[in-house]
Amino acid sequence: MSEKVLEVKNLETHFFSSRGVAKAVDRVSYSVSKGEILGVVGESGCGKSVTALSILQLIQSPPGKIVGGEILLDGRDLLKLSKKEMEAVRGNKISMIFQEPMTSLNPLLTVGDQIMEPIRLHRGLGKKEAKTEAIRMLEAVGIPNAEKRFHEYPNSMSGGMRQRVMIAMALSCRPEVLIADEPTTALDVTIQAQILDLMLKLRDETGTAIIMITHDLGVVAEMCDRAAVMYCGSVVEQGPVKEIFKNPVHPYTKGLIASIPKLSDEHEKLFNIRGAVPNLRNLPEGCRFADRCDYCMEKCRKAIPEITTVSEGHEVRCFLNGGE
Amino acid sequence: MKIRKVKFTTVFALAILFVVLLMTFFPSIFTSYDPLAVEPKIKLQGPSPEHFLGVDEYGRDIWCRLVYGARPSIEVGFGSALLAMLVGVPLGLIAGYFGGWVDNVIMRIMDAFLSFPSVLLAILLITVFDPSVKTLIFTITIVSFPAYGRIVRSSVLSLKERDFTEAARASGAKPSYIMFRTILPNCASGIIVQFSLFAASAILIEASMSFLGLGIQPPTPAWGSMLSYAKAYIGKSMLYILTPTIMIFLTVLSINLLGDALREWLDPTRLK
Amino acid sequence: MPEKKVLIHADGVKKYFPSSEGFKTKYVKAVDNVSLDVYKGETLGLVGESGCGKSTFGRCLLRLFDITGGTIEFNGKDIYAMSPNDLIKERRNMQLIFQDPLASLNPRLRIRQIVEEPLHFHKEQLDFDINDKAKVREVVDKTLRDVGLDPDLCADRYPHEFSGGQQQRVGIARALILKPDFIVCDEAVSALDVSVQAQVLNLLEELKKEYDLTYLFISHNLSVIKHVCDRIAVMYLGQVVELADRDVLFSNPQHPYTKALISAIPIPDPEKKRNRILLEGDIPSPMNPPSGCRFHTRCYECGENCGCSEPSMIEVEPGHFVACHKFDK
Repeated sequence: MSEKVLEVKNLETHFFSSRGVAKAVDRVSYSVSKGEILGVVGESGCGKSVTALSILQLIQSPPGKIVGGEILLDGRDLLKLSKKEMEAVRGNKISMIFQEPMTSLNPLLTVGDQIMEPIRLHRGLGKKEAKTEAIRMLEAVGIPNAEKRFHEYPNSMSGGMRQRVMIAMALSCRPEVLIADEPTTALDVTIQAQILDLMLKLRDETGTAIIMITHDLGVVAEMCDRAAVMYCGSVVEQGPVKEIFKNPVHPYTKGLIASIPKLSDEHEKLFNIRGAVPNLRNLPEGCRFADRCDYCMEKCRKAIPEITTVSEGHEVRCFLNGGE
Repeated sequence: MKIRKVKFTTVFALAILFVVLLMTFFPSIFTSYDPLAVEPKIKLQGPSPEHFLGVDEYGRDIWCRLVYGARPSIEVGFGSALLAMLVGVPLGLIAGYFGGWVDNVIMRIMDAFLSFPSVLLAILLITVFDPSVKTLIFTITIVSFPAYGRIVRSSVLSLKERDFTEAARASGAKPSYIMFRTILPNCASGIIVQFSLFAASAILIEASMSFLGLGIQPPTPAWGSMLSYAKAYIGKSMLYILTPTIMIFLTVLSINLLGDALREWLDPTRLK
Repeated sequence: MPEKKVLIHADGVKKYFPSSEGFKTKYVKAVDNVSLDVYKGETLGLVGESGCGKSTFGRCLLRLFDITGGTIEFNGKDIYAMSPNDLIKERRNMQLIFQDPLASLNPRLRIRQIVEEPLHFHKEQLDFDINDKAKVREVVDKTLRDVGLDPDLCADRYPHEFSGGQQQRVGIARALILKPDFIVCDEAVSALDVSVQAQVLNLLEELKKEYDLTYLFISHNLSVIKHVCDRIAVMYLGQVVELADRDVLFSNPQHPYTKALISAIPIPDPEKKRNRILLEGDIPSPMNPPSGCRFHTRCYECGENCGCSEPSMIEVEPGHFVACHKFDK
């Protein structure tokens, strides 16, 4: 694959409160290359969204704070940039779309005004050119009657249309990286299919790298080239999607795959991972998954395993793959 | 049981209210004077070993009158807040729960009460009846119960749609059970907080009425009327006008602070 | 095939919600002419997208509000003809499990009180005395254990102290304590994480055998539906468009909407590539549904008549019903 556009190295984000420190992101490393879709998958509270917000430095502070690591965009560390330089990155080089499009659109402005804003701000176009460009973007994301829709307000649109507007906005400055945080979770299945299809098409046209955050392994399997599985703030396994599904190594990945009801399987008992996710403020010493793991060994309770390589590009943070 | 951290402001508010309540019910602990005893020889005298806040224009001890003046404020404040609650809460509950024409009738009546300017209505009622603590309580209740009813109604309307109310209905609860056992306890925190806010504003209304001469009648001491008389002597005795102001201020502040503390304390996610 | 006993018979059920817009009162036709039978001991799946009326229909079956038209018989008795008192008595046989477990639990009650509450509503019909504290305690503890909660650890705590999966178990315990015949599971696992979702699905399966239950399982997730249900009804804009046994529906779907719905589910297997049927456009508003067949505006097999008349349910093979003009003779 081509060179890495965005690389996150040992990122650590902690939340400080009177009840203790929550290590929401703990030594997370992942990267995306041009035109690649990376799926970041995990259950709620695993830190997948916090990692994304950390990349854009949108963490509420206090209580949150990025305490370590590097975020490299084309080799430049974003954590070393000034506030002003960071503003030029946000929405321009890296943009983000969210789960609930209604809450991220301003209900008092027309859709057109909102798409024009980043175009004028980052690309310095005049009002007229920005408008043509905005309408072109609306057409590109498959909104019928783009000229008419340009003057409408977000609340007169359906959930699927709003998400299309969000995508148009996010892509209007031709970003190098698009972070999509559960973009289809709030949508119906038939609409989800439309949006996923659209994202794949746009990726092919523009070559934007996409970080797709989701809890749905089905979406990962259909959309992504590589996947990173997160649990309790750290990436426990990552690699090419086919590898992850065919040859999962980490017991959590295995459990997660086995616990989804599949269309193909029979009426049998679902596998389930026992217990529940531990509290981030009160994590067990050693591997975070130890208490729920069927293969837990003595050393798992003493130290957090380091990342080891399974095969080319397939890494895992588990003692089952060796390491001390 | 874990000992919870109690905020300084809460302790402060509780302490002030405790003292004011003691003044209301046992004024003789604080002073040995008679609030009505006139001693014209020493009128408007400043602080002295016998009268440490000085005396008023009739030579009455100011501290003693402040202590005895707590009673009408507390009686009117809590009395009218309580009465307004007893009238407003059931009306709001019934209107919100049953909806439809019941709701319409109750709410329109409340709107009618709300459409009078409250102070004017109070003045009107007091000129019709004799000014007294009872009249004040009655008057303030009339002007404030509709607001109570509205608040309760709106929280009932949202609680009625909540899943746990539907769950109670689905498992066979009778309407009376849902109204009093499911919905009412869940709006209790709002009602209690509202009670504290109303008590505070009722004390202010009482003070204003007494200030205007429509409340507690002389020679009975009340903070509002003390202020009204003291304003004539503002050049001669600052303490005379300042002390009732401070008493009103501290009492109202403490009740409001306590209301905030109650809101936090009654939050269900704090239940252990 | 063993004789199937009908537990619930719904005939032509309609539920319109008034919605005032300006001076005119319009109606949202949430459920429009749905007829279904639920057989004893089965799990009937009700699947569809948001606004298709599946949750509304589930609540109609429990008479949580009055219906606009049609009849619903539960165990041979018309529940909409019952007096309020008889209805309350009948409620012990039919229960509901909610989507958002925390919202369905009264925040001011302890777990024990929540689970015990329904017993008090039906104290005359219990086979023990409600004032016998030890017996009530025993019944509550057993129900909590049945749903996989340890009564000693959790009974005296409040709902917000638990995780979503545990809260849902409490909700299930409350539904079970009266030993009902029928439970409506309204998106009961949709708010849960995958690993916890699997735990709850397995629990529901076990309880079904143990308590001899019948489920109406409402979900938007076809994979979950396929996993737990025996028969499946697909709804679109207030109407059932296809009804069949689970295996038949997935191996041989007939309605174009069902086909599109099945093909739209992302499959967690990267090796499998399928031809996806992408539907055009959005779901129309149930306030103003399209004329004729409601799906015709998005249908890729739409014919001339489809916009004119509503298709009726046709039995294309035994037990497999489809409402589509394709099958008109």
